[in-house]
Amino acid sequence: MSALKTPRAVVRALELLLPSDRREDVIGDLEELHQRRRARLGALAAAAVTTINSVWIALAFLIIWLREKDWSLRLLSRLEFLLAVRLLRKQPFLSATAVVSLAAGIAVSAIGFTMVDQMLNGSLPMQDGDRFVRFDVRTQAGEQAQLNGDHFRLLQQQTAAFEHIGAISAQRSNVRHGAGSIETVGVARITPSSLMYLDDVPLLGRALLESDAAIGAPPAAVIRAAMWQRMYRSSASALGGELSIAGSKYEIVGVMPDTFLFPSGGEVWLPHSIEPAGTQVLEPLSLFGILAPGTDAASAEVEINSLANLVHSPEAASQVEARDRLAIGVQRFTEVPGPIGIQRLIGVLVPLLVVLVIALNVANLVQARTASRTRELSVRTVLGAPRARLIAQLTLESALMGSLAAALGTGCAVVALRWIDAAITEAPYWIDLTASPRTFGFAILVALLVAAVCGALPALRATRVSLQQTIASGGQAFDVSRFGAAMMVTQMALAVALLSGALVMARGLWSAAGSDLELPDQQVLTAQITTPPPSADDERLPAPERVARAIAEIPGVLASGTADHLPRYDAPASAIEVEARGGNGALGAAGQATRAMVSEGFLESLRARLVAGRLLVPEDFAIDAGAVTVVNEPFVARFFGGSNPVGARFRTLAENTEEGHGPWLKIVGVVPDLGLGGGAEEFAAGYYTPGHTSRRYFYLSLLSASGPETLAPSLRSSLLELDPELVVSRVQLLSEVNGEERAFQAGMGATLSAIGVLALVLSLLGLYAMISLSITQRTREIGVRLALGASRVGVLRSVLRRAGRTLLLGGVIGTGLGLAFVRLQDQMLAARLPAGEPWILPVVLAAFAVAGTAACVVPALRAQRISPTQALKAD
Amino acid sequence: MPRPNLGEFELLVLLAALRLGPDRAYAVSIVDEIERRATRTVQRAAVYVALQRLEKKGLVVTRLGDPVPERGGKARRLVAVEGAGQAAVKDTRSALMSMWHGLGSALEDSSQ
Repeated sequence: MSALKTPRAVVRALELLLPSDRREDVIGDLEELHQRRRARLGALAAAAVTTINSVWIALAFLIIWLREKDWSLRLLSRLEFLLAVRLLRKQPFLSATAVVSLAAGIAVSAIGFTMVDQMLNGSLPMQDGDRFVRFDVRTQAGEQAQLNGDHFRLLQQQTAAFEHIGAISAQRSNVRHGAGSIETVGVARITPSSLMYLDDVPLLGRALLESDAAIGAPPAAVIRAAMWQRMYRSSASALGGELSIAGSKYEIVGVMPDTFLFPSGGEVWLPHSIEPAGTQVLEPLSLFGILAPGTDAASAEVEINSLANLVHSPEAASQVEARDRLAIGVQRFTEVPGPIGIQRLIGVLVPLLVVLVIALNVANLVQARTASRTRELSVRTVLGAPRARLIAQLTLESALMGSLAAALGTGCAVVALRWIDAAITEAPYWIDLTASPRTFGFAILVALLVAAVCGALPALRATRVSLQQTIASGGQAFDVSRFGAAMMVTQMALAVALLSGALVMARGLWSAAGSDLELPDQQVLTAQITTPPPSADDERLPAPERVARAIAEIPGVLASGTADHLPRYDAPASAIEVEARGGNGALGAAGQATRAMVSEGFLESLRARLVAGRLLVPEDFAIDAGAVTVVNEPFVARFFGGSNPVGARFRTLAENTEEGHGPWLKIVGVVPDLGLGGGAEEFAAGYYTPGHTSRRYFYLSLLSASGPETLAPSLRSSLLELDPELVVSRVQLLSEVNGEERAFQAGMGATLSAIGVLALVLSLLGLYAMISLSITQRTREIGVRLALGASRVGVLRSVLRRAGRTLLLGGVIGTGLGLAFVRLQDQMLAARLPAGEPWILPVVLAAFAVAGTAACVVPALRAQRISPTQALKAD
Repeated sequence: MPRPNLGEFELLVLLAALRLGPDRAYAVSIVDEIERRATRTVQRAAVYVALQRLEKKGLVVTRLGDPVPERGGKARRLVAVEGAGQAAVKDTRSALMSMWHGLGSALEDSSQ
């Protein structure tokens, strides 16, 4: 008879899906119908129809179940919501702590997320912005290289992967408007054919045309609306106006809107011409590409590598030899190159740690609250409340807290991001740090996740206990001590790590941000000078010397000079060794010292007070002069124990020279600390040598009797007269030098410290909640012990012992993590930080111990006051 | 307490159960009865939903009968129409009759 039966799989499936009281009759009905069908249709067709029929029946019962089952998740009714609100209001301290913790976590992580998201995923704000790529060109040895005009032409002709190949360059230059004022602005060169891929159209006049880039074409420039408004009062007569840039004159042919910023902001665009084929030595070009629709970066990379290496040989059609091959990487245009910097560290690691600490804290608080309701939950279970309903209700409470926190946290993040966006002025133009929908999405996701995990996990745990267990234990079957202590230890460890790491960074940043230096801050005007690339046939004096001579002649200047570093900028540090007293070449102290190369008059322009010996004199700058140096007071303190070093010698240790060291430098004078180490105490020991930098930029300093700002116009015009290609930037008072960076560092230091303190406070609140709860739970036990004659001091000690164990374990693990964190920071940070501060960890731990004890005292005193009779009456 | 309203399909199920009687009315026979008399195809799964609803409204009661060998030894869930069910059928009938009353000529006109 088995052949007549309903297919077994169908029966099994229905047995699983149907409610137990309906299995027999429904499967019986199906069996009966199947037999009828089989007689009429045959075995196969009957099986098919019965299977389909059973699916419908299963669906029918699903509908019945959905309609009639009192399933809790659907019934998170208004009542449940009101209950959740009441609970939050009933325990305001605990609720507020949890909401503020979560809000802080959401704010910090949303800020970090937005920063990292913009840096990693930012795209150019134009229609096809995602298709713009730049090229990372390297030689076989891995050195940076550049493409040239030949590459450009070949790529333009033969590429299939790119819709367009263009050339760009950008730098800050002096721009003179007609015969009038001069200003330093961003000037970009761009191949005119690229402009059609940028969305913007001119507000006035025309864009750059291909013909503008042709050899012999009249030099044309377009300007941005901001400059048009500022310099030409938005007048149409700006068209035809003349701009002088680096010695050449350009006619303004168009005004672009302020949204036109490609490739790197700036206010003036010139046509980028490409040298014709056959040019002997081709100028290196910075090329960019726009991927053809549907092409990915990987296939474009394959194509450009094969094309670029075709052209690299003298016979354009043949492959180049292996050693001359270029390796070209195709990157998104907005990809931020370079090593992991401070922003990424702050952006990723710190929010992650904060969120972890906060999630643990909130979980702890919610768990403490849930634990205090174990008896209520157990009774409700016995009265028939399904577990799912209880879990749903507890999760709703957490979700409610999460929503409040998300609103608060996101609000804070929006305000903070606005502030950060305004504070960071040198970021690429496409980086927009205002809160985006992705930021809000992220904040909501974090809130939901944390709320779900913090609410649902303790809820699952709390509702798993049996009634018997709960009643037998007097209502405290839920053991907070182990689970809670484990969370507490983890949380404290993370908080110690975070706080100590934050303090090390903050201290480093703060000390760099400002210090009292003996400098005539308001009397000195400074500027940065950038020189054009050196050419082989330039027989003039080095630019720093020419500039130093030119500025000395500006009327009103008392003293002036140039240097490779200004006070408060980080000067490079290198290892030195000092000759032992007696001058016989034996070695004395050794260590790190910073160095600045200065021109004649530079130290005088800083009003450097002479502590001993003399300053640098003209003879020291002669080619055949002996190597001399002026050191600062921290240098003397460090290497000479404060005794007069004039006449002593030291040398740098250079690993890349044959001897392994530089020539002996004779100390001729001592000056105070003039901010050589960027203001950081650890790098303050330093020295000044006569000479000039070989870099393309250097700084100048002008001492004036009064109002040094008034010297700015004459400074610009005298330098323009000296060499129109010199770019003058950052003209500011000495007091403002590195001000933006210092403000940023001070802000970052303050933020980090605040985050660390927040983590500490949260941990202590969590500790307080846990200890308070454990004492409430032990009321009965304490009462019994007191009734049996235990002393109140003994009770106090036992309460504190448990808290002490948690504190100690958290402290030990936290110390390890903290050390690792500080080491990681050292490796990851581009900024120079002082070495690990030995006092920070002990101080953090001591703070924890004191605050932790304080957090225990209130509940511990409560335990001490417990009266045995009351305790025995209690639950 | 107002009597519950009956849907059209619920009415058909109740009428079929009444016709079959409490010892012969169960899901399969009810479907057969409706299909035979009303000459319309019935989705069997819908009968389970309707019976569940009618039972919840208190119009029918169900009980398991004896095991039946041709059903693989499984029992039938027999359906009996309660007094409330019978009253609901009567109410529906009189409501329908009063609505029909006087519509004969109008329906003839519309069918022309």
